[in-house]
Amino acid sequence: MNKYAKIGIALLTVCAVILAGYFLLFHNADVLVIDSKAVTESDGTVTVETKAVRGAKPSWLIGRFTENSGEQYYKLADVTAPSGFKTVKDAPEADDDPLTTQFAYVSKDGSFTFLILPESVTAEELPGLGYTAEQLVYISDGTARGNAKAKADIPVWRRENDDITSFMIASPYVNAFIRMDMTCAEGCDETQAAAAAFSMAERIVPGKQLNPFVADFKLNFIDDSRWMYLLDGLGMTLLITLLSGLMGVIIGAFVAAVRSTWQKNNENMHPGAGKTLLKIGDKICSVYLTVIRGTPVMVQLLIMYLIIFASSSNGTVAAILAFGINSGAYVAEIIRGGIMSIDNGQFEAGRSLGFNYVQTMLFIILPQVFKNILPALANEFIALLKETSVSGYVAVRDLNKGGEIIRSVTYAPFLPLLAVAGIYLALVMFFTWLVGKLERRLRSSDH
Amino acid sequence: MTTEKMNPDYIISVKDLQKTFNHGQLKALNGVTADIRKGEVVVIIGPSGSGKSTFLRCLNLLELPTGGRVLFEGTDITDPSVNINLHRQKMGMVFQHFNLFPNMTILKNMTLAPVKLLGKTREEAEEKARNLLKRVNLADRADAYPNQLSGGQKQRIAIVRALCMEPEVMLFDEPTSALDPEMVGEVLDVMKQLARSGMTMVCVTHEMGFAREVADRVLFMDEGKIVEEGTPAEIFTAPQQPRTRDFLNKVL
Repeated sequence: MNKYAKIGIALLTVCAVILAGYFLLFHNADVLVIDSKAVTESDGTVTVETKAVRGAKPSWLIGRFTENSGEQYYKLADVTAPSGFKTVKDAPEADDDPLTTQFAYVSKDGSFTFLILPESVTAEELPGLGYTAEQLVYISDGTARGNAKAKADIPVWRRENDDITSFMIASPYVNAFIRMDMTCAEGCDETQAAAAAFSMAERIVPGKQLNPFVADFKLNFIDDSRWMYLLDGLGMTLLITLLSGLMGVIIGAFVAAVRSTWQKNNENMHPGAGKTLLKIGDKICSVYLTVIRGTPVMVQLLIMYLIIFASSSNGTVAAILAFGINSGAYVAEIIRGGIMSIDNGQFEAGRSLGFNYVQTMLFIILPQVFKNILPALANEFIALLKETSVSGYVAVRDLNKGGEIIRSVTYAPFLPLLAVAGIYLALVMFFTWLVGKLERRLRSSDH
Repeated sequence: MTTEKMNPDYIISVKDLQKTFNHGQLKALNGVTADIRKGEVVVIIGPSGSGKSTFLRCLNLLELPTGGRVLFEGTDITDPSVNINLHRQKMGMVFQHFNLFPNMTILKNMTLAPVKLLGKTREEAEEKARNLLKRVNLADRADAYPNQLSGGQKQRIAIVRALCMEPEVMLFDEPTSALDPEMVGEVLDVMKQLARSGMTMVCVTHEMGFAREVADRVLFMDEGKIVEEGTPAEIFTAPQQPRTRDFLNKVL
């Protein structure tokens, strides 16, 4: 089996796991429950009261239509208003009721909540209460209307007869099904009630359930071009990782050079200024390693952002510096370990030929070191890539933060999180593959 | 830089050389004085721990002496202001464990230093390397990697790698000690050939046969000092010092 097949199988497995997980944990999109109550009035007219309540997670089946059980599923989207109902497109004048205003909160997973809020609450205050104006449908006294900021494509129906409080709202985000539960008030004609309810229901065209995955995917990534948050975040993550990785290698190489030079030569050096300088350098590097490796990178990032970069508040630069300095400590120890692991005979052979210390390092030792430490360096780079996911704490819109932004809008954590995880995984697999290729090429010269 | 008056016949002159390890706790060399003449083959023998390898490694400052001086072609190379790298170019060294560069081909092993340090073109360096390879019968292994060679082949390569720098003197640090017995001969043959060509050689070895046959002078070292020196005939047939006699009785 070649490597492409292996990578393909790995990716397919990942996709399958994600999809299976999605359907197993499928978002609890509550069905919109219309509780209709038919009452036969004394003058013989039948009033159908229909109340929308937030339903529990239903055990629904796609296309299920069981008339006799009294449970029917209808699709409301894309249907024309049944006769006797009309679509309310424009927001009517402010409500007469001075005390309360009813809102229906249509969450993006299709669930539907009634809120009773004081009228004094304005649309601007809603986010503070955990709602967004865009998702709110304003209902009062049986009339339903779109909030001033409500989306025009939310179908809202109401019964024309002012005596009857009945309305239906279809979620624009998931093609919501409406469940109609018929109950009959005491003394009413059950048959009539059922007939009335069904007569209303008949006008609603039963539809197919929109594939929940597609609907959720559309909500989280397609609508409002939300995928751009992920793409921009990916770019930022790569930028931070590459720049801080580069910085880490430069710092690490320098620190490793100082430390290994001291470690290798301190017993065989002429005393003098050079030796003293190297000794001080070694001590400074040692303190750097202790501090950086002894504190969490998250704390270092916050120190960089809130203390060192307090005046400029440039999160991106702070993140690059913090991760670069952090990575440098680990890279330094990897490189130093690599240098110390090379047989001292290689140094002596180089020096005996007349190469000076630096030349011996460059021409003889480092090429061998590089090959040996490549896997460890790659691991460090991959760890760095994943560590940058805390950049969001310093106002950097990285990949993880991009997912967070989507979640904060859609209230659907599943797909954005999976997408973020999947992108990180794909990146790591790609870099692992790249390093493996490089490693094989280097090894081919070493028989 | 001190340039001393020195007998022009001498290429290396060692004066009262001291070397201690572990901050003076371990005395490896305890006042060694010796001269190496141009074209001379000097073999150093002695029991293990006698300081003979340390002495050899002090000659090109792979070990920094803690006292005494090493004069190479009249220059005191223990002086910190001396650029030791330039002098090392003229002092080839062969190690017990070969120390070939495992990531380079044989040809690259041999041409790296001449190209980088002597300013030779690659073509010149490679031509010289191939000629030397022919002399040690390894011309066909030019593009092989060290790990593909036997120990004896590796050591012959190590010798010619040092020769590529056209050194004035060759230092051998137990060149046959790490070899399987059947490979010792091929390496000694190359060394004999080198000795006959007039190369100045300082050789630490346990090969008494080689010492007897090739050496112009034999130094016997023990406890960081040269205990006795003389021609092979003097040392091997009529040693004057009891320690020399003891040692030879054990190894011969």
